[in-house]
Amino acid sequence: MKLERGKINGLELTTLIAGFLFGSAVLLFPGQWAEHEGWIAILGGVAEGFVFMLLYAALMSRFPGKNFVEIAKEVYGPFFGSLVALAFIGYLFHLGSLVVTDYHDFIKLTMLVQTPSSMIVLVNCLVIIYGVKKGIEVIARCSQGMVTLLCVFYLMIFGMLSMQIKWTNFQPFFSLPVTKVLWAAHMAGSFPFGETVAFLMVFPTLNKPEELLNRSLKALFLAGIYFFIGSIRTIGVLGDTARLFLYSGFQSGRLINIANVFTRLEIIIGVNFLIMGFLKIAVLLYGCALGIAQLFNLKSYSPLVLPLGLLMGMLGMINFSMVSENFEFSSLVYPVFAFPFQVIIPLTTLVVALIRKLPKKGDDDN
Amino acid sequence: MVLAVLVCLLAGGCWDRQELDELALAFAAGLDYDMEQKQVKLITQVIRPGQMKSAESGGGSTGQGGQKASFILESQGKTVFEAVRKASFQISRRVNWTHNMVIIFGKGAVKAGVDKFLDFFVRDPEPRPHQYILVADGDLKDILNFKPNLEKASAQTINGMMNNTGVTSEAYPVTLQEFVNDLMSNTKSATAPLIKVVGEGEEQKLQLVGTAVFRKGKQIGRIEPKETRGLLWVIGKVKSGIISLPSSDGSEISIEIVQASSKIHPVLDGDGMHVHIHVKAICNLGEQLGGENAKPKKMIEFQQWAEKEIQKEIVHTIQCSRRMKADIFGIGEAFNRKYHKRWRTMEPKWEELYPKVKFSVNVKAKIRLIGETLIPLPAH
Amino acid sequence: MIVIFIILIGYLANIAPRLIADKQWKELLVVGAVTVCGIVLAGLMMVGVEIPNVTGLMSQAFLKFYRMIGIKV
Repeated sequence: MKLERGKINGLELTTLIAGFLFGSAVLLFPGQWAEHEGWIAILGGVAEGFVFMLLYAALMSRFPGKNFVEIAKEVYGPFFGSLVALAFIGYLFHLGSLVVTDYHDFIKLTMLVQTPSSMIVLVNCLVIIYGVKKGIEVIARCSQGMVTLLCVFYLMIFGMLSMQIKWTNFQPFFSLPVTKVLWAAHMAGSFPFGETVAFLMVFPTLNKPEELLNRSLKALFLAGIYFFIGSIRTIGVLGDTARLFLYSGFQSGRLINIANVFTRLEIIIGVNFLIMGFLKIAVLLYGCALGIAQLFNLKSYSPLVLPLGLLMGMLGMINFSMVSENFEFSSLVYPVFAFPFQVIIPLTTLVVALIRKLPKKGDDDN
Repeated sequence: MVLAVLVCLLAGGCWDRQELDELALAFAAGLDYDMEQKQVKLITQVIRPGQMKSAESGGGSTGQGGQKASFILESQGKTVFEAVRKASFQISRRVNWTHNMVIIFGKGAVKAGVDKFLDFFVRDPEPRPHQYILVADGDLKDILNFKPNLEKASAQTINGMMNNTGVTSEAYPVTLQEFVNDLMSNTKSATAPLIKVVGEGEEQKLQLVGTAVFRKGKQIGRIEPKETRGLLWVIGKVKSGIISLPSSDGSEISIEIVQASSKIHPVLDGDGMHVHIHVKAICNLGEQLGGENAKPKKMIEFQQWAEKEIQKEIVHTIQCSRRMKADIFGIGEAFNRKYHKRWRTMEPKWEELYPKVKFSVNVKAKIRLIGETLIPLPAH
Repeated sequence: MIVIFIILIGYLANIAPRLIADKQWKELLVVGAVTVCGIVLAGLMMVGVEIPNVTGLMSQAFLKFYRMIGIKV
């Protein structure tokens, strides 16, 4: 691990993963496809994420201290390994640009309607670039405070809306076709839980590698519980209208009204998104920069951060011609498109490593 | 630390600044539709933020310098959004919808179907879900032009009235969020309160005169204020109110409702569709126009009469809804929640099936407190 | 948009001489390649050229594939 000399401790890893998972999902509602059974979908998604995490941890424990690019080169040989790594980095890059797109669409719709897109994206990216250049340690430390804040906000919002939850909105139970709920569960599994595959670039920085599985699963459960609470809130408060809205989490926040004094508090949800989106894009950008630097055996990943970050932003601007395309993509295409990167590549790598009995003892180039 | 500061600085967003003195706030919107010209007619009640601060309530609608605090803009367009923009076009500032309190539909709109006109209010991020929905009984413009005594704009009066309906529970205030939810149901008939301007000249005032009943967005009928209370009993939304009963000794008594709840139990068996409605009401003895002392025996009598009276109100409303074939209580949705599989065959025929539903109404009233006196006046 | 363009050019101008001086040819190549990509893209967007919507097109392709194998979307 020549490139990354920083170390993060277990708690930082937990909050970093949790923040990453919260990412764009605080705004959208991962179980929306399943309408009033979204909460089931989220539980299914958590289970799926759990399985993914076991896979990633297994890969990491086999190759301690090495990030995915290094592993790929070792397992598949320098040529094919580079190809696989490039595909992986490409996925991270594309994912980062998707989050930028979500960011941009949301801000443009609700807050800065007339500001040119490039400005919104530029400001967003500059902050993230600055953070990533400072290093993964800084970001991980930031995430501790940010995630704590988010947890507090989340519970506050739930408390304020709890009186408006109509439990009848969850009935009739189990009335939707099973295929719909299963697809929604897989949707929740791939967004956001499966995206933790990005952490295959971050895990090696953990100072106590044996804690990896423990800490990651803690993060998973934390995020899972919060999404579950969020789904109860959204379905309970919005009822049938939840499937009307693009940003149903945000819309449920609009209904907060305590004694006519505490109104318009949905902005907290918007702020949550801003903070967590930052964490998510930062981790992805870090993964890309580190990956490319590792791929070409560069001395440092730092000079790559700015151009990659801005490229990610620009791609975020041109990803889709309209928001409905984004929605269609996230609900129908992404769960299938992401699967090879989230599951097949790591799984195949692990299997090939097992077959080739890698890593060979004494073949440690650290 | 630096990052946090940086984010704050950069996310300030002065490109999209909206200064208060550059805004015209829309407080109320009146929507009507002209079938022949296929035009949406919009009447926007606009507030000038500066003028709202004038302290006197007597001359509330005219501040210093003769500037009115609220005025209306009339515009029309093929769609609601077009009319909205045309309204802004008429004045010096841009109309801002974030503070809109009330949406009132006119006769043309309720005939054409109100659901599609609400798309703008749901889709656009400015208008908010807590706006109240009402239907105008009479001229829409009169209601929006009405200059109230206590407030600066009739929107505030209407908003206050909606918040205040609990005093008699003879109107059902419905917000945009609830209204849209009802419209999305295939079987429930949405409802919205009816409002009109009554009186002449100086004696004018706004009054809630009943509830409009919709089917698939079009108004199909109305129910009176007393019948609206029957509706509220069934759905458990009665907050307070007075039940006046004649006592056996010729006096009148007033029972004040303090708390009410209801349970709706649908039952589907070989015998057909049944709905059991259980209503619980906790009341106080509010007033006795003469008569005997409020001894426990008498109180139990009062309780029973209150129960009978409430039952009468509910049954009367059920009969109205049957006549209109309008499921205003959401009975269909109750069947859906409990008997989902069988509901799928029932749902398309619900308009015909609903009048056949057998209702059983059970009311339990409890009179707890009697106020501060033991003996009704005149006390001899 | 023009801001992004300027930033990228400035960045390259800033970092290239340093890398050349340190004889870090590989770094120069990679960083240079990425930055030049960015400059080209920013330049095109600045001028107003319509860049094809990458993910959107991919999404359409997937949906066509779904319809081909019989899934109704």
